[in-house]
Amino acid sequence: MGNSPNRRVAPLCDARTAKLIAGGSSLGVAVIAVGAMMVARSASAVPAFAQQTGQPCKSCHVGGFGPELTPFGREFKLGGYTLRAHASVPLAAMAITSLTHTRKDQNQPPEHLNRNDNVVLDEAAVFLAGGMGNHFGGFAEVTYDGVDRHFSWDNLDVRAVTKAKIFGADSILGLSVNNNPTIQDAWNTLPGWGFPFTDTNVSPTPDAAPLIDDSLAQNVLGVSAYAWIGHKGYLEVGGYSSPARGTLNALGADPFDPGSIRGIAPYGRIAFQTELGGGTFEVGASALKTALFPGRDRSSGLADHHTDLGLDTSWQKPIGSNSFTANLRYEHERADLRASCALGLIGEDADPACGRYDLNELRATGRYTLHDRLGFALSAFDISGSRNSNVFDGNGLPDSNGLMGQVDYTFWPDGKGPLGPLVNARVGIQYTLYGRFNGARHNFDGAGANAVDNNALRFFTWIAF
Amino acid sequence: MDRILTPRFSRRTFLRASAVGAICGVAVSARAETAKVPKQTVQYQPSPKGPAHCAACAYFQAPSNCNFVKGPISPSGWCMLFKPK
Repeated sequence: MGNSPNRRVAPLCDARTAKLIAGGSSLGVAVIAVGAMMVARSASAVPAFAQQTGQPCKSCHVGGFGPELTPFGREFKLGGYTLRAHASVPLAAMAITSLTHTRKDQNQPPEHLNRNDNVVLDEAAVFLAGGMGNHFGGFAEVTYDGVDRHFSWDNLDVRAVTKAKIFGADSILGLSVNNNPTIQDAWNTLPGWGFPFTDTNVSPTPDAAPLIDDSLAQNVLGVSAYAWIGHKGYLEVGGYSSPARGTLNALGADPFDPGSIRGIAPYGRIAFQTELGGGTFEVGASALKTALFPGRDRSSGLADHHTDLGLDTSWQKPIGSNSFTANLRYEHERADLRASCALGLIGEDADPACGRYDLNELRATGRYTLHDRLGFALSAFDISGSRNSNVFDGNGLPDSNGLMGQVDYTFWPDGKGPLGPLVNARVGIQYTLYGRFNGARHNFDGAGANAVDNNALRFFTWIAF
Repeated sequence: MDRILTPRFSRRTFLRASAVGAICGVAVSARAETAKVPKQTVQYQPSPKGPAHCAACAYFQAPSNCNFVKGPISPSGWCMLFKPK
């Protein structure tokens, strides 16, 4: 169960982005950072947890493969990964490979890669994962990025939990130490574990995204306290800060990307879960407020500010041996990149609107799984916001939208494969179709590129053991 | 202006306070058992499902408990975690 690290590849590099990099700020502007590095996201079930619980993958994961959690999987996570049937070896591994074809050859493919039809090892990861006693558990992941060709620490979620009575209801109190805001969440609506579960940085993706969308992954360390009240209500408060530059370097992360947090960045989450319509329904909200020194540069005395507010809901219904899930998330970000302006990284410092913008992100995903093996998913995404030519390339609008469809097959969701109960594999086909890309449907880069040029077909294989 | 201020809580203070809080919280409940899951989470039913029933499950703890599921259960019940002994 882990996300891959954000991977940095060559962006569509205009003069302003080049200036950011050349100036050593290393993409201090978070919204540019997201686009420039083309976030790749993937996650997996952790067979070490299957060994610990004696349960097959499908007990904790929808479709018999990670990371989408069933109600039991959520309880396992919120209970600090402590449920145990017997002693186990807390080690696991996974690997993802893929072939990606874009509708049109890329003008600036990622380093080491071709302009099209790239076959890559997206990632190979090892996990230390398990529970210890009745109160401690977690996982830590180290990943080799086959595109960037380097090792780094990946997702980390270490917990301490205890039982409690709150308002007379059996509840769980916990602490999570983690390195990616939302990675501690138990629902698959938030960015950390949201669909598509696996994607690649081989093909171009939209530049603009809220900071909470993985931009801080593995570049921060945070602690949050949570209460799972009556197994229905979830409350969480926490904060994130930036590890020292040397620490991040040693861990294989880029300490300058996107920068360092001033003080503590507060994070909050609330959710309510109940039975509804024969399924499990959840509705929730989240918030993250950050002040960042872009590229760790404090010389201006200012910081770049981001306030991310999100609403999410999900519904998961078992239908015999099949299942249906729906996830919906809306995120609003208000940003003011005061430091980037003052440092001359973007725009004119004298302009009070230099670094201000709003972003709205909407993601909706439906998935139907047959017999925990054959999955069909369709996801729609829409990113829109205010015009700011200092921040966004092309026409100054952040707008992108499109659809992603996926068909996948999981081989051994019940742990009865020929390679033993701890080996599972999935293969799948993804297709991403863009309606708008970086602000426009046609000629979004001023050089004649159209949104559909980035439509991507991806075949992937994913093995966990 | 948004100038740098000395944070009231430094990163080190924050992490130390969190660690102390965790240790204290866990110490208070050191004798507590692992938190089990509610019955509805695992589709528990008080009747068997075919030949599968709790008393024949690897997680059954006689006379009426389960390794994973909260509260007393029926030996003739069933849930989605069933695993034969």
